[in-house]
Amino acid sequence: MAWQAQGFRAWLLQRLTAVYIGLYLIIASCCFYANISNITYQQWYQLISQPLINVSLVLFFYAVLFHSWVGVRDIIIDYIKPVTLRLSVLTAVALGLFIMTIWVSLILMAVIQL
Amino acid sequence: MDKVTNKNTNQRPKFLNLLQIRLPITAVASILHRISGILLFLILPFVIYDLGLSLKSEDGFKLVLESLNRPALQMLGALAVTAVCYHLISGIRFLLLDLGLGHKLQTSRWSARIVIYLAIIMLLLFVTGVVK
Repeated sequence: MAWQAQGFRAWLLQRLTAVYIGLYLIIASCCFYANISNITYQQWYQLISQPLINVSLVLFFYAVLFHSWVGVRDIIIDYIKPVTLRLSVLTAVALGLFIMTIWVSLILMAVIQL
Repeated sequence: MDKVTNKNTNQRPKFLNLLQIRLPITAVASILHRISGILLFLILPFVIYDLGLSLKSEDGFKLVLESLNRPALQMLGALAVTAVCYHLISGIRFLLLDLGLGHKLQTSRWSARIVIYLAIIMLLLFVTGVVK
């Protein structure tokens, strides 16, 4: 099944999302570290509702959620041997990540200003 | 001949208790990457919750700021920021290794050591509040 992202595809996507996440974190902290501590609600809202920042942030969370899936799945497969337990934990993680994907999409799409 | 080889393999000591064997420094770097990754996965729902709350209303925004300033959460925050930084730096090291850079045993040991020392320094800086 494609969503499981196994083998080379998972390996590659793990690294591509890593590059996006890493660059995003570095650029965002360089741009905003200086004045993020005394930001007001209005400024924060305006910042996140800018289309470019909003969409790139949505993509950032998608990348993080996907990256988590591959990483956590690898760890579960390495350390949890009993099949039933392994499948249960994998299912719980997948479900959690799926819910978080919808949740973060709703949060960020609600504030976007086009 | 075969029997001899088998016997030899069987007699090798199996000693895989992670708490008792001494891991090479590169393995420590790798397992810390996994531990920090799991930690970040676990705090992810709280980050999304806080993001939602901070955008919902001015009161929610203030609540998030106040809760982040509580001492107990500041400690957790320091741990989370350290985990992010460690995962990022160690991730860059793994990407360089994937690109074929730093494959020599000595080089990879030394880069692993640097990554771990940086993480310890960052943890101390964040926990003591020197860097916020």
